[in-house]
Amino acid sequence: MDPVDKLILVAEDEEDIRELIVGQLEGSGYTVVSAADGQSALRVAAQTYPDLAVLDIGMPRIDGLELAKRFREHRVMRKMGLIALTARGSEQDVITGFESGFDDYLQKPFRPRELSARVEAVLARL
Amino acid sequence: MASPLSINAETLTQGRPLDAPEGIRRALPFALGASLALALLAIRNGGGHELTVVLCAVGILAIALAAFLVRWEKLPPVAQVVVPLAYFVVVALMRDVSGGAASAFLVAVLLPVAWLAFYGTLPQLAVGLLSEAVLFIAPVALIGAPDYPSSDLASATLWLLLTGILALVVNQLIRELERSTTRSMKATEEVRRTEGVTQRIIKNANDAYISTDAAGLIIDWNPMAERIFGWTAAEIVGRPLSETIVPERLREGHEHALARMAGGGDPRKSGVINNRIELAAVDRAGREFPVELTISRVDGSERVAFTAFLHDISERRRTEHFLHAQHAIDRVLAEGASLDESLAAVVEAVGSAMEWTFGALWRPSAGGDTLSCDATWQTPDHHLEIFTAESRSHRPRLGEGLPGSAWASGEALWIEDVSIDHQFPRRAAAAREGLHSALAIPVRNGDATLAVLEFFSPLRRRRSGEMLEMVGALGEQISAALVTRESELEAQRMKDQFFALVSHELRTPLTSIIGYVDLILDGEELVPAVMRKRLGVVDRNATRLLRLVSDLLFVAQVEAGAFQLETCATDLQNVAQTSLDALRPRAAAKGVLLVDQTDQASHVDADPDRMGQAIDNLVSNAIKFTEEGGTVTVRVLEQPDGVEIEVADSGLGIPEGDQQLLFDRFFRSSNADGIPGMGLGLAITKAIVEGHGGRLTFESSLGQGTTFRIQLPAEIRNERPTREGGPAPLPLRGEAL
Repeated sequence: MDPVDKLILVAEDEEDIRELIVGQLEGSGYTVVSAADGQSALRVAAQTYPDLAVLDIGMPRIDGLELAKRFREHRVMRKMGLIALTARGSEQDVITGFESGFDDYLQKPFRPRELSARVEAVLARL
Repeated sequence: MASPLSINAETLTQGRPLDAPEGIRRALPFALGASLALALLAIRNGGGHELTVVLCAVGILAIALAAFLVRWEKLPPVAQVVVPLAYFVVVALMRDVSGGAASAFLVAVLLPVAWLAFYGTLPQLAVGLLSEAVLFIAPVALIGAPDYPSSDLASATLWLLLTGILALVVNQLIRELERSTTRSMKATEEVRRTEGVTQRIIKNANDAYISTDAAGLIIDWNPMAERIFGWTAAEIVGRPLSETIVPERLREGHEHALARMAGGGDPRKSGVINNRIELAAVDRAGREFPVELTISRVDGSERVAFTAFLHDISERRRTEHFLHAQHAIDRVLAEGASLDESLAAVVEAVGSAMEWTFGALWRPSAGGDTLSCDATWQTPDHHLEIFTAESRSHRPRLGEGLPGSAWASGEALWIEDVSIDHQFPRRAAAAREGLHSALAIPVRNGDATLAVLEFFSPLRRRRSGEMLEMVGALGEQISAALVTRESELEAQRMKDQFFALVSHELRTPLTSIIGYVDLILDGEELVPAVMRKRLGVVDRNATRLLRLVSDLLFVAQVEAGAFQLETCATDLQNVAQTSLDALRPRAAAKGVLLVDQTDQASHVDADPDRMGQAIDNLVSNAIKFTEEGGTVTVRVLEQPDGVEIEVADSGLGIPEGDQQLLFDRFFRSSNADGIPGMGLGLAITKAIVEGHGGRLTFESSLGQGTTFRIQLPAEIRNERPTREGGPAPLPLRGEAL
């Protein structure tokens, strides 16, 4: 599987972290699109149909949980791989629940290499 | 002799004391006949002693008459002996002067002997017989007068002997009869007296006394029973218990029990007889109340089969209900739920504690002009769908219905029977589902009514002023507790928010720092060695900062009761070795020897991440507090009932004064100066171990080293930490352990 074939959506409101993730994933050879909030993430996803999305949970307005729910309800995008980024312990409990729809999660702060590894693992399972 | 005996037999059967003069009177005709015969004989024989004979006859007659007229038992006892002796003298004198026939004298002599036998004691009788011997036999024996009428000494002696024996026997029989009569008289008298006392006791008893026959028909009903049940004895005696004081719903059971108890077998086995039991009873007005009673079975009586003393225990039950409700309220409100949930829980708690069947929570609607039923509760054995639905859709205004009235008055209200109360809008539904008594308790905060708690029961429970007072106090307790709890919850919420915010706000920049440093270091060829080293410092410190943030967050979670274990079958040897591998570089850097004695696979039910964290904490502490050249030994030991993990160091040891405070969060030992740390590690380790149902202990001596031991049970016995059942909140430094 060639990483170049895969399109990844990154939704993260913190610019520094978004850039970090984009940088890391592009460094790993993926094509990356990004969004700074849930609203634009939905729009970008609808235009590009990514293979996998890395979603920050704590985003204003439409948060990562809501995004995941919408993707899972979408006719085409429901097969998309979903990885959550959490900052709070309390968020983790929700993410690890089956109904959240996420394939995996990473707790902030994380090692960029670990993110790449998780992304690769989830893509391999799709 | 037969005559007085038969009299005595009669008097005995009539239960009267022996009637002494009656015996004499019966004997009187003999005495008269005897004296008359003697007088006639003496006159016929002549001999110049006619005057003496007549005088003697008059004497005998006088004695006989006196016996007839005087109540001899009133005379001094000596008279009862002297009189017959005088009689002997008179008879002997008459016989002497007349020389009369022996047979007539025999009859005359028999009388005083009979008298003495009848009345006298044994010595008196002996004196009488002796006197007779002296008077009748002595002249024959001493003088031997040949012309004496009873000159035959032998026959006279024989006759005297026979008389004596007969008299003795009669005397003893009569005395014995007398004694037994007296005894039985005394017993009868005692019984009569006791019966009187018993009747008085029952009449004045502070308990209701009820007796019934085997069919359950009431026989006795004392004044207290009249007071308790409202039925007078005249009204209720003869009626069945089951139709009068047994509540309708219990009647069938009552009759079965009665049949069982009356129909032989051993009723004691059932535990009803002779035991203190509690039952529901109903008064004349149909109001139900609890009674405590002791039933006895009366065996061998034709009429009474069962008796019972009982008293109304409403008051005691009220107090019990009140105390139970108080505890239930405390318990429920100690749980951290929302106000709505708490109030609903209070309805259930108070309802169960006070043995209500249905409860409803009414809260003022948004506009504040009506109440709405936000929650209902009912005991599992009742199905009150209609009433529930009706309550849910009911929107009483201020002063309307029971909740509206309690809302308006701010006071607890009690209705004995809502099903017939025209002020009660839901009476049709209540009547249909058999609900009667109702109680409404307003919960107020100052002037505002927070809620009205409403309860129903299928029983017609008696209203009382004390009960309303108690219930009012419950309302105040609830509102006071709610107000306190709200402020506590608010403080807790703020704290939780603060921790969440802090952890989030700290993690976000740390994510950038650590992430970018990693990103830079990953592009190996671009980074000069010196830069790599410096970035390594940044990375290490950022990681340390992250660890501190995580620890703080963990402590906050434990405090909030939000700390969860994710347990699975875990090999602790594996966990310990992972920790050791991670810490080996640090030990090596400090010159501390890390000894791995974890050579046994040890499976327990545990959260591997958390247990790893606990072992990390202990081992890194041990390394920190051990000087160069020392050793830290980690052992994992299989125990019969679980696993023990031991972390032993040869380090500084813990000063004795510090040992008590060791597990307090933010506590740092007095010899820890210059050693970095926040004082959270041990507190966290303890919380993790206890969350697993295990124990964390240590022993330490200054300068020798310290050994920490984690003892984990093989299985966690459902000790997942929750707010109530979880590990105790971590004590703050300075709080008592």
